[in-house]
Amino acid sequence: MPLFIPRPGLWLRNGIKILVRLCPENKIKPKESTRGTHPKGDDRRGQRRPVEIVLILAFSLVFMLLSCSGCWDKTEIEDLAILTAWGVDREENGDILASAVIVKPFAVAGKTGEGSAPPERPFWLASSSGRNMLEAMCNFAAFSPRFIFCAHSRFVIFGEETARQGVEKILDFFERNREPRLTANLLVVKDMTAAEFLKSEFEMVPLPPEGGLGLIQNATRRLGTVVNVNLNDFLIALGSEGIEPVAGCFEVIPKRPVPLEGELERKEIIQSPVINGAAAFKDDRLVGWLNRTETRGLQWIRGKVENTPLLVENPMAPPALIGVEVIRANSAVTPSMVKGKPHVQIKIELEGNIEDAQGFFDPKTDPAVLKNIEKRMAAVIEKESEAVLHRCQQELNTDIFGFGATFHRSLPQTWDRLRGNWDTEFPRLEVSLDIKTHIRLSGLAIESIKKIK
Amino acid sequence: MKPLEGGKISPRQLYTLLVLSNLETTTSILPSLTVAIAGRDSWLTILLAIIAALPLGLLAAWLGRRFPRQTLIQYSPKLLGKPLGFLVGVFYVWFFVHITSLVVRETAVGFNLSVLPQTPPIVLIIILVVLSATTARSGIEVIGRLAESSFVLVLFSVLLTLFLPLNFAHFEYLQPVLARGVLPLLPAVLIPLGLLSEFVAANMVIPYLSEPQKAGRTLFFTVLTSGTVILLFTIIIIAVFNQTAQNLTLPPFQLARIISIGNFLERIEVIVLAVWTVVALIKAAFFMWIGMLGPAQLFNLKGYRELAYPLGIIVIVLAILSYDNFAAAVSFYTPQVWGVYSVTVEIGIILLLSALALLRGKKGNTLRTTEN
Repeated sequence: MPLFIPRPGLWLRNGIKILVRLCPENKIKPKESTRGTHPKGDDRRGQRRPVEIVLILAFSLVFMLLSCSGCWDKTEIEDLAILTAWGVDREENGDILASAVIVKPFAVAGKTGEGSAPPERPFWLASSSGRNMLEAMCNFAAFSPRFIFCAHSRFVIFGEETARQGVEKILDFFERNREPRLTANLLVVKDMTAAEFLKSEFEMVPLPPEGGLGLIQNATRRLGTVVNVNLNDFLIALGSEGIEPVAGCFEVIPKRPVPLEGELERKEIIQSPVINGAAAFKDDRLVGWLNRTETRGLQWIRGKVENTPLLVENPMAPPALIGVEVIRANSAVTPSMVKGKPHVQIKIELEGNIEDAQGFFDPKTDPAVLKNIEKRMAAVIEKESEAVLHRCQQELNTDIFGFGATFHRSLPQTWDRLRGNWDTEFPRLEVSLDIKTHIRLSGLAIESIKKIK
Repeated sequence: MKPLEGGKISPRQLYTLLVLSNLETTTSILPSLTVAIAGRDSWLTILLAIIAALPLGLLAAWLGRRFPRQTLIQYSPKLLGKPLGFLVGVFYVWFFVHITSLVVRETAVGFNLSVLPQTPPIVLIIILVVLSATTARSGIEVIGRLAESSFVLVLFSVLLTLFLPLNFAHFEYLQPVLARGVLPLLPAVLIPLGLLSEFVAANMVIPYLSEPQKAGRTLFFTVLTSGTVILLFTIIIIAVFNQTAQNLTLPPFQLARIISIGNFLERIEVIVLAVWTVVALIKAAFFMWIGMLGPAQLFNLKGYRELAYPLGIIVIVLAILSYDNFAAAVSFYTPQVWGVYSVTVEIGIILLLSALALLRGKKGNTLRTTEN
């Protein structure tokens, strides 16, 4: 009788049994079970177990080792070109020009020691065209030794012209393909093609997408005059009724190269992006740009302001300014029908701290001064909100606030009547603002600095 | 004569088995089916299905307890007469074999769509079926312990994919509630009800329970747990994707893909794949065990373990024949087709047998017999 009979099925089955038995709880009461089909199984297995374990372990180790390498879907990281941003333009004949920022991993590591070669740019910018996104992406294979892997793409960037022509046909790829993620940020470049835009570099960070991400995060958290929109938000706004999409906006302000004196090797970045404002869409087409004030107005209405500086005139020394840092802002939109006409009530509540005061400022002598500042803050917010409302209602006629969607949510029957002619109703929609502001702290100083005479 | 199945499992093992079986469909195809029909109100259909399934679970347990030493296959001839009872048993067994093939196919399609586009589905199907047939051969005891030992991990991973995307959730997307009234929702209830009613698998297991008196409680909590998980999945999927959820083939996978917390906790969708693997194996093994034990009892065979690999081949063929892509799957899993079919087989049989047991006053032998 041969010593060793390979019985993989048995080993696998027993392997599973033993693995299960390894659970502490199952170990406590192994006798409860009655092994009908193995009347003397327990004893025999008790003697055989060590050998069996070794065989099973050996078999499973070899099996796992062999199966881990994969067959059909084997992907080596060395064969991938890791893409971190997509730039999409339309060419004149309607083809798609897809530009990609691809990381060069060997250059990211950064060998800046003495005697080494001059530092290499850590990314590769490549473009390829096709009749749709898939073809454009596959066309990369014609000249890229590694194939595009876009699961790490952080950005989808459209050129202005492309966005004006409509992006719906491009976006399907990003929803359908298994690699791109819906968390990628969606932005439109002002006055430029995306391919041209991707040539820009950022100060402080070597990889452009990281820089772009940094800009978006900082501007959202500290400045408040931008919108932070990802693909999922955009697709939801595109696919829902009563709301139109917005997207972030990149702009490039050309720089004049300035010679810097000194010994250290310096490279001046000539093209560096600025993030500013927002792109307002109607359906899938870009219809207009919102400037900083209007964008912040939009964010007040949507309740998405995180931190932002709000400047008001100092009531105690009129031309001078008081800087309030808004730390919290919320909004609530309540739709209603007033005399058969749609009406929207927007309630904005915010809190801020005084962080900067010019001129004479002394809340001790006049406690009403803080109330006064709060009123002025409300006035600024009202002005900004009205600016964006006017722009979207009268000029662009696009409901980026989602007022229609609030009607749909709260007054579904009314919305059934409004849905068909929302384009004509929206510009006539009456909006009333109710703004509550509150100053919580006035910083580490009480009065402002003044020269004692 | 030796009993066919000598194993015993605890009520908790049965509970984990049934919950994990439900999680298989929940984490793969179910949300897209209900959302496609009932839109943002689909969470209400789930709620209705839970409410409907709870008493049915208790009924199934009552029926099982009435024949404490017999499986459904064995007591249905007693209630319906030999030929009809045999037919019911055949339907019952066929249903679970069919589900096994669908589970296997779902998992293969899911893997093809998400990470392994090049791998031929037949390879994935064969691997899964061989594994589950081998597990099923080991008897209910092993399957039960497998489920029990992986339960906490699987549930934890599922809850992780449920709660981590909450920073993308907008619960106002759930409004307006019932904009079109309740009536359009009612057909959609059949689909989650058909899934939750898979607890009728327990009617094959109740004779092997170590504490059969806990059967009712077990089924009750099974429905409650898996119902809650389905409900949460549906709510969060709608809150994250709004109407675009109707357009997604694998919403739970997409939900995991969207997880991004502070730009460092992201790209963890592979958790969902791990969950799929485990729960598909357990569900396929469990239902294949029914598909083996059932015919063995129908035809009075001496053993059932020998049926594992032949049944595996049947399952492989059925899985290959079932459907090719998600579009075909969605047109199959409609309330009119799948809903009626599953609810008829699962709940219809239970209701019929319970009514007969009550009317004809039949009871199983509580003494230890050699019937099983």
